[in-house]
Amino acid sequence: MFFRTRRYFGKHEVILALVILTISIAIGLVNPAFLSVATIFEILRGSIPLSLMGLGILPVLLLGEVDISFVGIAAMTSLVSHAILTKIGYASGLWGYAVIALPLGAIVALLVGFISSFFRLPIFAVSLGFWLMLYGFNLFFISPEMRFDLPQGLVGFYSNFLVKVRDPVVGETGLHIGVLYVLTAAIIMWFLLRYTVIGRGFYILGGNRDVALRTGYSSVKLACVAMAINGTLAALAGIFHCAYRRFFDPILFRGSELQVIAAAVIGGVSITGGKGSVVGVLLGVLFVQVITRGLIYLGIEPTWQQFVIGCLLITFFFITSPRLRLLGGRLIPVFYERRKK
Amino acid sequence: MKLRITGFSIVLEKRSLLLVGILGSIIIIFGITTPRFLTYPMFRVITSQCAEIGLMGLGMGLAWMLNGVDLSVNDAANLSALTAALTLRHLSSEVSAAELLLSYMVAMATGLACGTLNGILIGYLDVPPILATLGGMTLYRGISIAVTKGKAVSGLPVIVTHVGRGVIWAIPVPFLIFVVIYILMYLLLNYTSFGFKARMVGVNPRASYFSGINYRKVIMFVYMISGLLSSIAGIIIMGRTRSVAYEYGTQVYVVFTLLIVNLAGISAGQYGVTAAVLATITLQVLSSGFYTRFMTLQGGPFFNNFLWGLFLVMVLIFSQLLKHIKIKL
Repeated sequence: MFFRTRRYFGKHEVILALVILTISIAIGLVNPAFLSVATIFEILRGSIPLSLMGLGILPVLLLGEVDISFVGIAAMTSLVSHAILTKIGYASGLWGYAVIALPLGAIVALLVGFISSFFRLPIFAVSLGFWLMLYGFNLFFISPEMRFDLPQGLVGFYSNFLVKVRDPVVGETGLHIGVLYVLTAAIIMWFLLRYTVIGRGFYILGGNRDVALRTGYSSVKLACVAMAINGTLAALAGIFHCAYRRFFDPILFRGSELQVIAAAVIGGVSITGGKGSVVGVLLGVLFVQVITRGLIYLGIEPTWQQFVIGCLLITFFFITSPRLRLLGGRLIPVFYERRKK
Repeated sequence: MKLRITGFSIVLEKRSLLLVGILGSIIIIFGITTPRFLTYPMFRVITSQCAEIGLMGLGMGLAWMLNGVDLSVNDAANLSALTAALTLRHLSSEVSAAELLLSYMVAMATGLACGTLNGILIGYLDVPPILATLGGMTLYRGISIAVTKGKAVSGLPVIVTHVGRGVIWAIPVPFLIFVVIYILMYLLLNYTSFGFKARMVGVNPRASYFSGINYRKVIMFVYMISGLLSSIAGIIIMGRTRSVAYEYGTQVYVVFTLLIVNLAGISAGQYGVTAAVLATITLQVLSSGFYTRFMTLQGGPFFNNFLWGLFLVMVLIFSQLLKHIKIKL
């Protein structure tokens, strides 16, 4: 049992979990309201869209690729499904949106994956083009304005709680049903990555491309499946976010693509591929959420929040820098090469 | 990329020549189909607007050449412009040219500082460029927001518009600055030892280390130059809009610079400065051309985003296909 714990404590995800815990406790010491059940529920609710998108981008990152079109897919599928449903007078809940948006998202993402792998292009470049096309499509062909005309079935979605809680600071809140979506997606992803050939294929192709190709994995098939998953989950995140905020936005998530990737990388997913886990992604998203919300609870003015987050990030990079650790934490030798060997 | 001297192969293999061809075709097509396209006002609009995104694109290209990214180009530009604007605010209301230059020096110093931070994180601390520049971007934006309390700084002295909207010999000043920077970058990357080292580091950092190149220092200087270019872009933005806002270009400008970089075929160790400049001009021509064409249509300005995306995918596919075609003349 003892050696097992040693191995676990060096793992990135465990360290991150401890960091999150430490930061939460620290914030809670300053402002006890932060450690209430209501706050935890709020944090969970806030991390739903990011978690879904993070889980979606995970297979792509494992392949060693980067994709930014998923935000455009989320925006386009949510807006298009909304446009179609309002036109036919739809009045029910989220299922109608899911039926249109999710397959649509999968198809568009599949297209990106296919074009990339077939023409031997990096997914990033093609996704860049699609990012522009999707938002341009939204703004030009569908609607340049936000749409507030929600169907009857979606009214009250934002308060669709599983467990309700009343809190003096936040008011009535609860564990939102969206958390179930995330959990389901996470469990499916975990199973896929661990127990299926394709799931493990992501790790292999990202870890050592030549070996994977010679073993018989098809880079086209893996790219397409990874992107299809990405598109589906992004679409789900999109319709969820719109239903929650009670309006449909043509430029939904635009600019947030980097945050999702950053959250995943913080969670231990390697940008060069081959390394990463579902737990890591979720922890990374949680980390971002805790810090963003924690700043509010610490009473830091809104105009200073970005600055504080930036400073925290830079400090975080300083501290976790592999090279600094290599040099035993001494700062000056960073600028000189080691002469003795 | 090898330059084979057999007829058409040169066009097919060198991205800058391909872009010249594309640009020429686009201009011809627009000239025929859109009225008032081949006129001086159009030329002026196109050239005055492509400088700011072009400079940021050159900066991003530098980072891309080293297998990294510089996501902070836009926010570094805005922060640099902010420092310039604040310097001007502290001077007399009648700002002389010397004082203007001083504010520009302050802006460029800010840009260099931003780039240095990025460079230290990426070059010396081995932080992944995406994360490092994301942190830098957040920090620079955070400083801008904190200093301006979220409000835009407007009402700057008229003298700044000489740089943003001025015209010398019928060519807009921003474009002249862009051309000068282009020449300097071309000379830097192709005719200096630093440029050579930078290319080598991009291709293979480990091999360059064994060849005696201080690759960490090279990486840091490259990001410093990127920061400097961003600051100049910020100066031009300030000159054109006569104001400074922390949110100028956010959400989209970084993606546009990535667009330029990918269109120009920049990759590890390969940086065609000419291709990058041509890509910028082509995109601007496309954008302005379609804007005049679809101005009457509702939501016309958004169509160019769609078009840029389509254009990128087409060019990418096309250039991949070209690699498999060998023409013998």
